[in-house]
Amino acid sequence: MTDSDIRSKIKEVFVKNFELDEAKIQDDKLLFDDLGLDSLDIVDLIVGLQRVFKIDLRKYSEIKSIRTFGDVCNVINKIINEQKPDAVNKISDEQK
Amino acid sequence: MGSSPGFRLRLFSFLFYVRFVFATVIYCLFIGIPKIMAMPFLSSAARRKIWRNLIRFYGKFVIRASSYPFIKVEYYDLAPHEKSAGVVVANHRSGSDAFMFGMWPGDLVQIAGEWPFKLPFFGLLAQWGGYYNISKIAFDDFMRLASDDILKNKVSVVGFPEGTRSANREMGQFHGALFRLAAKINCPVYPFLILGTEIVVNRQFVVSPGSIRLYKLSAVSPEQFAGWTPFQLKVYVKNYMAAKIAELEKASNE
Repeated sequence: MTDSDIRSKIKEVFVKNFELDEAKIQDDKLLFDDLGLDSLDIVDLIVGLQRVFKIDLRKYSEIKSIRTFGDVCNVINKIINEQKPDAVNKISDEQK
Repeated sequence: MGSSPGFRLRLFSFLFYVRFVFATVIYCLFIGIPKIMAMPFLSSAARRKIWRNLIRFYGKFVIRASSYPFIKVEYYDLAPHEKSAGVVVANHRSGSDAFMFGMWPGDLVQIAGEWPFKLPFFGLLAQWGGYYNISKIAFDDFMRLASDDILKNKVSVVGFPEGTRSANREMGQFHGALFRLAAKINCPVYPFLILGTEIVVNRQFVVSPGSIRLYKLSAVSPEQFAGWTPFQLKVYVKNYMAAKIAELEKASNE
């Protein structure tokens, strides 16, 4: 999955869960001040992201530092990239 | 050579607070204490109800006693036939706004952040009235207790979804707790508009003569928001309030 695919999927989660205007969802937009997502909405956001990316975000302390849409993309990207070596190793093990 | 406008305003503000304190003492002596004396003989639920009513009537009393005739407070019920308990959400422009809930026509309990509970005298009243401290109470507990208040006790749960005074006359973003409550238990959401307090009581709590207008709007009903997410409900109510505020302020300027 490319960075662009990841970003696009994250945006879909925002639009689907909160009916936000896609054009307003930009990297520098603060989740609460600009997009109106309070702490309870963030919980719904995390559930939505977990469903789409099949990851358990609760294990990652980085999500506590999320403030903007750009932060969300950076954190998800980081988590998915960290998981890639595990996926590669698993495939290698299966081929042996 | 007369005194400066700044001095006259400070004098007016000082005299307002003298009346405010005097009205508070009178209320406590002649209404509060007799009610409190009966409390040891009542259940905790009944005591909580008495505290809530004392707070609400205190708000109404002290507004009138402190402000008349220099500050006009007008309450308009734009939906008088809508009386069932529900969630009440108000815009927030001034530190005096909480007193305006005294004009609400029905039993109510307020949800607030940490700082009102730290105020001397008022903080105690809030605690004894069972007001919700959203900074301390677990969200699940809030939902359970507030649901009981609305559905079983017929007490409206009121609050300022902006969470803090808006820096200007535009409403800030809304927190969603009250809308999640309404969505969960399918109760009406009543917008309550408070206009003029930001001029009468400024951010430094200096008081000026003026006019405060309060409006109870028609509720957003469960039938209207059936199938909506709490976020959608929150956005809808905010836009509804903003549009009505603009309409009312334009009408008053004409």
